[in-house]
Amino acid sequence: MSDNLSIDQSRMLLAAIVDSSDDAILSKNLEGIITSWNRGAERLFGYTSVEAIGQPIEILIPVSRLCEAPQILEKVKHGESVDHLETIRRAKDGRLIHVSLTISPIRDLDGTIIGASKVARDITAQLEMTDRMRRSEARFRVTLTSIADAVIATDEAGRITFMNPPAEHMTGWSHDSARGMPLSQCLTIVDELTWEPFQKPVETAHLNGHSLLIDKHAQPHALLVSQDGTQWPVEISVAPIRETNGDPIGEVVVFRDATERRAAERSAQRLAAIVHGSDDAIIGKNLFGKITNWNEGAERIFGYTEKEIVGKSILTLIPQELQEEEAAILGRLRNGERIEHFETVRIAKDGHRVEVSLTVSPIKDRDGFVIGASKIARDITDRKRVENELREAQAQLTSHAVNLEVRIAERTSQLHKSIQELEAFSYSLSHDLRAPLRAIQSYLEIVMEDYGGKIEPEGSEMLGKVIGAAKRMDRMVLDLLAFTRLSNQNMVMQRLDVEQLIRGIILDRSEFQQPNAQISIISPLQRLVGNEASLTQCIVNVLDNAVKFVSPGVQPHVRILSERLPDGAVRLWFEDNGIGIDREAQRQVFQMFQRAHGSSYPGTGIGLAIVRKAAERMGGEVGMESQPGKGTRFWLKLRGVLT
Amino acid sequence: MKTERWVLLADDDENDILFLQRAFKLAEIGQMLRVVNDGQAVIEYLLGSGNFADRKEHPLPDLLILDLKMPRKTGLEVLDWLRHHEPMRTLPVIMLSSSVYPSDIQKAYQLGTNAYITKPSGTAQRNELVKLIKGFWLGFNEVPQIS
Repeated sequence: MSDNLSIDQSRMLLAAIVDSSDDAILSKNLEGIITSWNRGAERLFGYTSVEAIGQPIEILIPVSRLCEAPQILEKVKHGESVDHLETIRRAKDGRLIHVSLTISPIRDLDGTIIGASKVARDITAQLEMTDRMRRSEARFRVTLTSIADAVIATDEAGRITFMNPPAEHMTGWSHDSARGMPLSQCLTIVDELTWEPFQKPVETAHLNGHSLLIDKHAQPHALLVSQDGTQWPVEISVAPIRETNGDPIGEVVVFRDATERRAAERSAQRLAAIVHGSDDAIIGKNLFGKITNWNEGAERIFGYTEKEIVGKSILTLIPQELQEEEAAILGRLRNGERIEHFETVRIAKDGHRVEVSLTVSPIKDRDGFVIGASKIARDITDRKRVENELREAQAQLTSHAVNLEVRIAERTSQLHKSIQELEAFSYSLSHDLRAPLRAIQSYLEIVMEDYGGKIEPEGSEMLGKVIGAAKRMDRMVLDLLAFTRLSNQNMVMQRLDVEQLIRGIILDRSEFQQPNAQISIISPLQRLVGNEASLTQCIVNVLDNAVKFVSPGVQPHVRILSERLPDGAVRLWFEDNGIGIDREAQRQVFQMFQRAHGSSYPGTGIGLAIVRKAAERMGGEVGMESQPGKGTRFWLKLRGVLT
Repeated sequence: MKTERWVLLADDDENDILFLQRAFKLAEIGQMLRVVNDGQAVIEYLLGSGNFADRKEHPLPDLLILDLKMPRKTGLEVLDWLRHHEPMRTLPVIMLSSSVYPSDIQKAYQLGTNAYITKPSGTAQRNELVKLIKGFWLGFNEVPQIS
């Protein structure tokens, strides 16, 4: 029936399955003789079924593994199976093959063990793979252990599986104590500015399975705080670890001490900021004169943006006629020289000329080779302009001064001429005035002499007054002449014995002698420096005044004394018992034609003006102290003689 | 005192001439005085030329009194001429002037005047002056012979 038929059919089906299996399937009897051999066995071991069947199983076993056969046979006899025995077998061509064996007993219908079935799978490739993996892992471990960067690896759950020595050093955790701990517990990263936890990049990496590396610039302030509190500025990056099929199975965190780098970066940033923000143009160029750097100051001064000018020749900035300057500058730079405060002219983008002061320094690489130059250009247009203006102003001033001197000289000479003319005029006027005066006076006197007897007494009296008036006028003219002479006279200064001078004056004039006056000298008088004629004029006029202005009937008394002043000058005092001068009049008496007492006392009003002028011509001063009714103390101050 | 003494006065001011003549008369030497009115006339008188050819009428003077400011030739110009012309070089000269200007005085002496006197304002002084001139210049003083 179909059931009987189906037994045959199912046998055939099984045989077909065995035959077509990739694994080698064979059988052997209890004597170890191969009894069946499928295509897989042919492929694996190289023997055809005809060659293999009837042969002892030992043809497949390498010498080193021959002991396995009796053990396996023993197990089979006892009805046991051998599962997944990994061992080595030998192919027909002698090649050794790693195989995984599964051996099961074969029983007959009675259940008696009559042989064994053997399924052999080639595991050579698998083994080689495993071996490669083992070796590669060891290599990785060695690598990770020896590199300078800190590395922490975690499993999928974020638990630490590996930590290299730098990571141990920086976190303060040992590999062994950290193993199995959550990453966040062993690796504390904060923002160095805020001290806020800085776990984000790690988490981000974790979540974004596809992100390979965390950009280290995204966390410029990352600070690792170790278990003992040590702070490490770090650069950190996180990458997922993936299975070959791409599934993440953990992540690796790599970080390194960024102390120096961060300091260098900051310093560089600071320098860059300084350069950038400088008012001066700071330009970098290479040794071929190509512009490599360009700051804002340069943009301001020359008008080009960084984009426009970088890569262009520095000659762009140099006026046509000065282009050879650049060759000279480059030459000096190649020798490592520095050029300081070189004042020259450059051209801005819009063509206007900029006066600049250049400082050019070579830029050297680490080995000291000159690779370019930094150029600092300061716009000195304004300074130059101010300098020019100043120079012009100075020139103008000088020219003004010269003009002024010329004009002063002209005016002075004109003035001298005018004064001379004036003096000549006043001299000749005075001179000419005297002649008619003389005539009037003389004729009147003659009339009085010759015809006096025939004139009525009243007439005689009037004639006398005319004579007096004429005489007074003559004295005025003489005084005027004396005054005029003072301005013109050459003042020869000499040491004078003023006491002797005064005694001489008194001796010469009866009006200064008893009984007309009593003039006493408080001896000795200090010697002084003056012009004899002028001093005589002064003293005569002062004494004239002193003896003249007394109350009627009073004998004039004059005391003359001297004092030496701290500055070496000598002051002569003339103290009289006269009527005195009120304060108001005191200020005027030294002026020409000022008469303090009007016509009640005779005088020309020129006397004290002569005194003042003479004193001033001798480099001295005059003055007075007086109160009406209490006399006058008149003083004359002149240069003293050094003792 | 020599009987025949002559004084030549040169002045352009009529008044001053009159006053001096009067004072000379008063001193009883009025007859000795001869007068000219300008500087040029002094030179002509001394040279005896023109109107002054007659030496009886215009005798050579023993003393010349010169005003400073005169027309045609000033007193100083006359003095300068005089000191460069023999035999008049030795003629005693008194400058009589109303000028007290130092440079005038200086100049007069530089040119060789024998005296410089400012013109007196009043008769009393004038008379005194003429008396002194008579006593000194025409009296005690010996004068060189001028031929």
